[in-house]
Amino acid sequence: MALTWRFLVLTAIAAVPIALRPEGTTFLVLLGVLAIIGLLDWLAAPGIRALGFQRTPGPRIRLGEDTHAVLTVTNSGRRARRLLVRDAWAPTAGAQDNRFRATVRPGSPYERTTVLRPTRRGMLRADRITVRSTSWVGLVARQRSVEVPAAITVLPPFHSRRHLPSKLRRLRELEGRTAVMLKGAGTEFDSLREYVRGDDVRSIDWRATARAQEVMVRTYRPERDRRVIIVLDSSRLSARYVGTGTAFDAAIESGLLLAGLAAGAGDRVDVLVADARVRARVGPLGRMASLDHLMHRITPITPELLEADWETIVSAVMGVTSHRALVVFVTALDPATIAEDLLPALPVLTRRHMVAIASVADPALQDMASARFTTEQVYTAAAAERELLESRSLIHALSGLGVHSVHESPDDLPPALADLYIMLKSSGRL
Amino acid sequence: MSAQTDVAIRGTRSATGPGVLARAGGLARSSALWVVAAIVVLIAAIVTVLVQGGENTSPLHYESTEDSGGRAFVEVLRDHGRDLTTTESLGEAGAAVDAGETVAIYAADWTLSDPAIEDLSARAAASGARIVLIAPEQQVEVWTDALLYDYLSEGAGAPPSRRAPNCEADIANTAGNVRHEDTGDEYFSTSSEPADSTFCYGADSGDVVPHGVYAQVPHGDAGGTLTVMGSTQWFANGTLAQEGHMSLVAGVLGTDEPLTYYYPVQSDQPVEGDEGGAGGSPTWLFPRWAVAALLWSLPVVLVALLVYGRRLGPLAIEPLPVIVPAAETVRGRSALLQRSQARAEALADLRTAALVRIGRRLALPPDAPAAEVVARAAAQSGLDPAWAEAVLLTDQPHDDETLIRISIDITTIESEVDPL
Repeated sequence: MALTWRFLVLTAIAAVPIALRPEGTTFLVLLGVLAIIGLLDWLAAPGIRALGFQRTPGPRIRLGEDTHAVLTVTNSGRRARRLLVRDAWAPTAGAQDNRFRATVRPGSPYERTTVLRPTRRGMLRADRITVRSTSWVGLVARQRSVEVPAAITVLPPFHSRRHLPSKLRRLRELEGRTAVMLKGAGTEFDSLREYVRGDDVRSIDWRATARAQEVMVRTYRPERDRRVIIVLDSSRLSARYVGTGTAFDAAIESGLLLAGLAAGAGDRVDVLVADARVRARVGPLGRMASLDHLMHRITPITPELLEADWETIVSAVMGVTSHRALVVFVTALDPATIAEDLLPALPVLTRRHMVAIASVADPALQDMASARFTTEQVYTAAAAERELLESRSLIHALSGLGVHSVHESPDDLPPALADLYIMLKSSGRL
Repeated sequence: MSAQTDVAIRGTRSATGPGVLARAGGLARSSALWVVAAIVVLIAAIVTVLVQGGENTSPLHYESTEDSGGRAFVEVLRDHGRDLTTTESLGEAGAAVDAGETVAIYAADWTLSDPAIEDLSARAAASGARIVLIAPEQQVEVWTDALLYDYLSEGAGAPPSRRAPNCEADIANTAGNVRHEDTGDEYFSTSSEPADSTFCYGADSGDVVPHGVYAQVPHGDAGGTLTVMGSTQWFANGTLAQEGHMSLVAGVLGTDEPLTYYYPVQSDQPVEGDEGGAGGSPTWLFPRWAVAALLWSLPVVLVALLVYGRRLGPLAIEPLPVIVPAAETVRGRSALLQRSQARAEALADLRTAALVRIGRRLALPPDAPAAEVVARAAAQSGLDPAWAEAVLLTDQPHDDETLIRISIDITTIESEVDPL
């Protein structure tokens, strides 16, 4: 039961008879009359049980785009229903003006499209539908909330996809360049072509030159069908709020770009998302695979306040393939975690795989380190410099162990990681 | 399969539906039944209130149908064609007095204040109105100087509860005996030989001054009279029919002039010592309808609360992912440094970071000694080598100001060093 503003107006109007006959009985009688009118109007309001609801969520979207959900209300009763409907969604689903009035007649379903403007990635669920039904007088309404399950999928924004074409082009440029040529295993012969000035003379194929009466050079292309394993750390350190999103958001961006790039280059990509347990494992993704499936699997995962269990993660990585692979950990450069948990596990990995660590740098640290005009600022600057020094020395130590590392701000991490991959690829170290 | 579907559809759309008992049970469970019951109860309550009328049940009130009420004599007089007006308003009563009419006033229980009595008495004296006071008791002395009230008048033993007229007035003799149970309650004349006065139903106490439960004295020079009816029993619904009460009442009130019955209420009377003549309670300052409308704002506010306090459905709840502020550890360490006054440690970190950056900018190997980095930096930027060494290596911060100065100097040197 819910009173409406009309009932309020009626109550206010009842002050007129009170003023005309200011007696206690007028008071009582008017209160009684108002109660009777209210109850009668409640009886006259059509019931809500005869209404049927259906929600049809709109298409999957990337974060930052709009989607919609269609709410269909059917009336199996005999009378038309005058309704005030609230189509509630989880707050981050960003339902735009989701309260509306509707008159639903029997036999003609009412459709309403609610525009959704989500503010975070993930599976965003619909909340209850609340309906108020009034008679034509509209003094008192019946109200009921109905659970109608529905959810929209908001994929990660993948802003870094704008880097994908240029990085792929650079990879293709590598194909057919003699500079790629290296001795030993790991280079694939591609084709012969005429010598142009600047080519390495060591790549001249003398037999072909003799046959063709032109100077021919061998060209090589980067290796294909290599394995790339991307491990996204979803532990508590990824829940840090860095720049405009969490570190995990930046990790997803980097992982997606690298996966797209490596798959486009013909490598086979596996993606693991893990903290204390392996939360998702996607792959292998080949050249033809679309990133959609990967995004879909990553979408509902959010960082949890758990420590990463590196033993589990390393054994999961070892379980993916027995072949040599590039293993990229997208995690945080936390000295304690890396030293105590990751370093003991590294020798096993580096013996078989090429290991790289990508981590998100906090751009706020630079600002904190540069302001030095008050006592507090100086101490903060010292602490920030300390943090920067530590991560720098950690990177130094890791490179001593043969581990490549990338440490960049959230926006720069995806292209930097892609560059690292291209560098490794072009130098034939995969 | 299709047969089953058919049966199922028929089952749900069955015209006969559940049995009578089941339907009755469903009806009892449905809220509609209880709402209808509530409506019936409310209607019954309203009808009761309206029938009872919420009448005023004060003693001798003209609306009251109780035994002590005064409706009966009002109705009887009206049935006999008297032009009888009832009022609770002092203003209307005063107007009737000014018009020289007959005005009956319920004067018992101190319902009229002394200033009001003085005012009415003076106006009656001027206009020649006939005032009939019902049991004024002590206040009769405010009305007139001709009468005194004695509630403990001596009697020879208990006087009879039934009093004979004991006088020559026609009205009393026509009416005959009346009831009067109390011992005293008699009105005495202030002079032993009053002119044009009548005193009836007095107890035979041997008092020389004329006295009685019924008294009539002249009032003012305009020919008005003041009649005192000493007992409320004579007017009350329950006792009106006994003895000669009705006759007495009809005799006193039954002249041909228009008759006004004034039943005083507290609210519109002047109070002693109050200049403006307004009542003691502040509600008197407002007209009654305004006070009533103000009181009605309570239900209005209640309804407004119900209208705007009712949410359209429960709040939408959503479990949000955890977010940890990133630089928290840095700020924590900074606060620790500051609280422990660890200037040397703070400065060491700042110097190391600057030296690392300068060394890299000057393309020095990572293991180059700090002194060499400082010397190269000073040479490259043209700064005083001693000063650069003091800033980057040797100066000790003794207080926070020195610390700030040194750290600013470090920034200056860093900005002066150009990359090779």
